[in-house]
Amino acid sequence: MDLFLQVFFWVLLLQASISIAAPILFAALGECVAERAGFMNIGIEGMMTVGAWAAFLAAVFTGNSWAGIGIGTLGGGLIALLAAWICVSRGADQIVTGIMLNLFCLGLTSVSFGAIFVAPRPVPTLDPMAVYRIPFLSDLPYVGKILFSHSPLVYVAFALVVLLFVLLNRTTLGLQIRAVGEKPEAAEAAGVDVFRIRYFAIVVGGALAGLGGAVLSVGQLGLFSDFMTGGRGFIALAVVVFARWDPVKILGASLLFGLAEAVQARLQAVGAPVPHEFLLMLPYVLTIVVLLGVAGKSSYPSAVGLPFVRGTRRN
Amino acid sequence: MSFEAIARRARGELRPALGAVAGPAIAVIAALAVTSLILLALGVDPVAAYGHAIRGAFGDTIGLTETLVKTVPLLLTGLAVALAFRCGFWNIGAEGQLFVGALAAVGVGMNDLQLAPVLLLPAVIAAGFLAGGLWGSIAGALKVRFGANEVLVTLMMNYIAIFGASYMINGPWAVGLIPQSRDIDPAAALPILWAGTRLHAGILIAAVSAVLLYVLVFHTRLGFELRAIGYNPDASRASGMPVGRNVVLALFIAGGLAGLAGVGEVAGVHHAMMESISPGYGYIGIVVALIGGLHPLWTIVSAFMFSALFIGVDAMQRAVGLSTAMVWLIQGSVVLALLASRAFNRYAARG
Repeated sequence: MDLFLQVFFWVLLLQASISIAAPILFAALGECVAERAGFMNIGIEGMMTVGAWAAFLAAVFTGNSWAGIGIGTLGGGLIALLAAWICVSRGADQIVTGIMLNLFCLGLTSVSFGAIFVAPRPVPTLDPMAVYRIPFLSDLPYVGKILFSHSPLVYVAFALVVLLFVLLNRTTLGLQIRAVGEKPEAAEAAGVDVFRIRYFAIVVGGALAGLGGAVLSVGQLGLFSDFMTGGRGFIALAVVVFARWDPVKILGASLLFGLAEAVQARLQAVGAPVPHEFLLMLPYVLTIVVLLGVAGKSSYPSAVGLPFVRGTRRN
Repeated sequence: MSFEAIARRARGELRPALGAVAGPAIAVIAALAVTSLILLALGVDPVAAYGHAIRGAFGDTIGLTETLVKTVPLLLTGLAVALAFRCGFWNIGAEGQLFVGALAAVGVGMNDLQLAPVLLLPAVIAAGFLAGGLWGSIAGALKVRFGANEVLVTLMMNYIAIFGASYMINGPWAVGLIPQSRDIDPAAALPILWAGTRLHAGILIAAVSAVLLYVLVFHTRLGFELRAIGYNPDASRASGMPVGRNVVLALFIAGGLAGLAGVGEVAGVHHAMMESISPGYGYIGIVVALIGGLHPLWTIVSAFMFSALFIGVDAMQRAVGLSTAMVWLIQGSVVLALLASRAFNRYAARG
């Protein structure tokens, strides 16, 4: 009986890790595409927030969760389009732009949400998306519950890992993205439109961040609140460094962070003798430890952070 | 190549960005037009709203002095960012350094140590500076020693500091059910400069800090070395400068300045530790520093401008009944428009 309970505990813990990892995974995959093309997207937190907000509003007003997920993705992509215009076309600094985008998005979502659902109009909640148990596979002992009994969006995230791996490593577009992130002047000389590739990568990255936010608000929690992404975007930034810009490793790193969160939540639930603020710090401490561990071994795509000016060369 | 590609930004010739006016002016007008549309969509009359903002920031003594009160944390965090950027270190961590400084100030200011009243305020100021400085120098040391990406490290350290503060005011320092500490000893408070307003002596600390930092950056050997390191760390190292030590030292001073911002909020305004001690001063400080051209004296001007924006939007948001996040929305749009207007591109890498 004890053994049964223990196994059950671990199965639930691992299953929860995967759910928790999903929004981070989407965001980190998006960040990976953007950084590979030479764009450091610090505004990812804001894009996730806008994704969560747009998805929730759309789901409430259309009554359809999938419409919400789509609108959330679009919302993240639109903010990314703004970021791309400011940084690529106008050559502004990526980090400062990202920080200001985060403030802008938090302000936009908080102000408008407060104005739409002003008292006495109640703030609605949604039913989280139903679990889709994959036939046969979900009947496997343990593994079926851990891997194959999730919201459909989790499977989308897994599929996306493969898709992006192929895109980045096995297609011409992927080669162009990487070239633009490493040696934009060489890419340009080879006839690649650096601006267009960067726009593409940034908008795809932002759309995935928005999708991550939508998964959180509509897919999992069924609610929206200010600051609900709570630093997940920043954790995604660290995940990408940790995983050295490789989609498959990003999957692993996201799951690690998901596990840390799940353990934290369990410890809180069983009333561990550690103040919950310290448990909340855990992912951030873990991130710093991870950054120290990979520093020196990992290197950014060499053109990350640098605006590209047509017809120029860097040394 | 390492993260230095990004740090390269801070190397260019850094002159105040207040020169070319036309582009930025159009940008600000465009940003205000966009926010007007958002206000209209939310059913708020934008003209009336901006009227509230201008009256709120400059309309009377209270508005003006409140603008000066908010200038204190914005100037100090702006200086913290400017100094770190000067030596090529992207200090996104002023927010956390402010929180740690505020925590230390409250810890000493509650005077459980039974210090003599004369010593209390100096002790509070010193504690805030030291605590913020140590928090900042950790980030500096992690970059120097391990090459850890300072943007991410300082971001993460902000969260750790804020959760730490949240722990203190919900746990050991909690007063009843309110998540806030008990008040500091009256002797630990910064004196009020103008009776009937909240204008406190923190403004003097901030102004003196700006002048001292100007002297440090432009008229001392350390300042010269820091600028050289920001311009070209490899050449600085090759010419025998202690690059690592200087970066850690610069981050100690920068963190200390942000810590003083925490001291000002605790000892000058709130007189206790609470969660709302900073509505993102550390992040706005980045923009304050950039608009000030990373020059300590110009930073005074830009801190005052952003403070007026804060106070004005605050008055607007109260008058028309919108969320306090209004200030982020408007500041975000204004600065994004400025970024798009290429107002800051003179900082861009030349190489």
